[in-house]
Amino acid sequence: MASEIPSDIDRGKYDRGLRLDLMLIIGIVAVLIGVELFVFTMITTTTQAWTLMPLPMFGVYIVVIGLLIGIETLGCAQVYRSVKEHRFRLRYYD
Amino acid sequence: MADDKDPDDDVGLVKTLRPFHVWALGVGIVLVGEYMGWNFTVAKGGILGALIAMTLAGVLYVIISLCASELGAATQSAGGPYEWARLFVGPGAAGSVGLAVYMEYIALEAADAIVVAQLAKSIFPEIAVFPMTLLVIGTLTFVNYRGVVGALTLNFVITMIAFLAIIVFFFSSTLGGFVELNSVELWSQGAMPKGLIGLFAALQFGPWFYLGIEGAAMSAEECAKPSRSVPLGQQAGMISLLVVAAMTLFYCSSILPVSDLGVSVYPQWEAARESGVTFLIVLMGIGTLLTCLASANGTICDSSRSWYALAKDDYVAKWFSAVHPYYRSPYRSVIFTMPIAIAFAFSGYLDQVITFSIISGLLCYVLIPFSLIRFRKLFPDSIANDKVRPFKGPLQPYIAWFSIFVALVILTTLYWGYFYNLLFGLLFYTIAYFYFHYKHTERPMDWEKEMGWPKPIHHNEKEE
Repeated sequence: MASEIPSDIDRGKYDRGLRLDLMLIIGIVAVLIGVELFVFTMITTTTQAWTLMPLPMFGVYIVVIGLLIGIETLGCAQVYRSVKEHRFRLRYYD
Repeated sequence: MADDKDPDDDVGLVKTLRPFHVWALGVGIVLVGEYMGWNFTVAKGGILGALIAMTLAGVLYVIISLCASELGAATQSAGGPYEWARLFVGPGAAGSVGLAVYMEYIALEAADAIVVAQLAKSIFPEIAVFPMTLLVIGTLTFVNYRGVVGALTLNFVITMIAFLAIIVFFFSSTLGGFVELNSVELWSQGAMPKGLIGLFAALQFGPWFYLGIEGAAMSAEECAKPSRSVPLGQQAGMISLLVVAAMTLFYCSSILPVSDLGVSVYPQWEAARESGVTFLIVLMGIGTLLTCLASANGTICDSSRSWYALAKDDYVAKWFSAVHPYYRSPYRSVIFTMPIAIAFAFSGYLDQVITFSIISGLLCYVLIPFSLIRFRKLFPDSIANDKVRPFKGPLQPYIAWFSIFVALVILTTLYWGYFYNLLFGLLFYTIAYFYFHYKHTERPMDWEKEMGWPKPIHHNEKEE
């Protein structure tokens, strides 16, 4: 809210800072998803992992991959939300 | 004595670190695991064992790093896991986890220093390992004595070089066409050489990919804006590690057969040598050396902060809690890392030292999420204001419980091959628990005075 922004804050600098943080977060999450899925797909399809281990175990492993990417993505979204929410009060970009 | 107060007591730690310092501390400590050690997962469980161990340990560390980010941003203390356990669990757990963090990092420092000395000897045979190890430990201790900003800026530079070396190797092999990959044949031959039991046995080495990332949050007290720097730096660090871990497994296992990769001391360098590309051989050689230095440097920083925090609260001699009046580093705690690291380094049992480090780390991975569960219970959203919880991780406390389960599963897999280490480690920390529990019986905590927080929920309930 505009009323919570201290008067001596350089709004342009804060917007740029927040945009850079957002770009960093989106960039690293995109790289994470790309690399993890690439390596996982290449290794499991080449070895035909589902034929080597019991199928339920392979299913659990796919869930674990989903957890890894899902939790980290949610965590990064929370980091952005936290930075955005507290940036003026805690003067993150001064 | 007229006044037994230390003249340095009023000097606090410096507060200038930024997110890239937090990244440098976390990734700097851990990246060595991508250069060596991770490949034991391949020895135990083949390519699929390594992939599963890497992923399951990855989930554990993602959750641990989110817990550490939330707790670090809230408490803003150098003590890290010790401080969180002291505030939210109790003195027995606090003392044990404080010691565990100290031992985990000191043992890693000793191992790193020995590897640097051995690498130096392999390049210059006239160098003797013993004095070189002493030189590495002494020099890095001095760097940390001079202050955290210099130490972590140095860590950022050398860690970034080692980090980029892995990225360059990956793209050289997948896109660049410099390196001939033999994925189909090597992966098919070495997918699961020891069957299902191998997959479980590989889990014990999964932590190698990420061991120590939780330590990034221990820079919170020295950050200029801890509630931004710690979550941002630590999550960026965690993702960096997940990415290079997957890349490392991909190209190393596509170049070296499982039988060679599983027993290799320097798998990155040997994969580069096998590729025959000169610039990659040089790059990975430099990367291996730098990553060991970065890890040793970071572990001195974290172990000294854990000891400093223990000393501040009188869990160990208060004398160690002094802060240097000029450099504003906990200099006595920093210097005290040196004799302990040297003792570990020259015990002659490097693999045992590393296993003790992993067991100490796994104890932390049970107590860090447990501290978060207690934190959320004591300070639910109804009373936790922005000061109490400036960063709030997702899906808590459910994922914290899940990470405790995963940490215990990995601990039990240490039974294969390290039963006595496991038994000794658990005995050591059980004794420490009872010692600190009885020495520091719980005192009533003034949350407003110490943390600037409201009273936790159970106090309110009592009053009502």
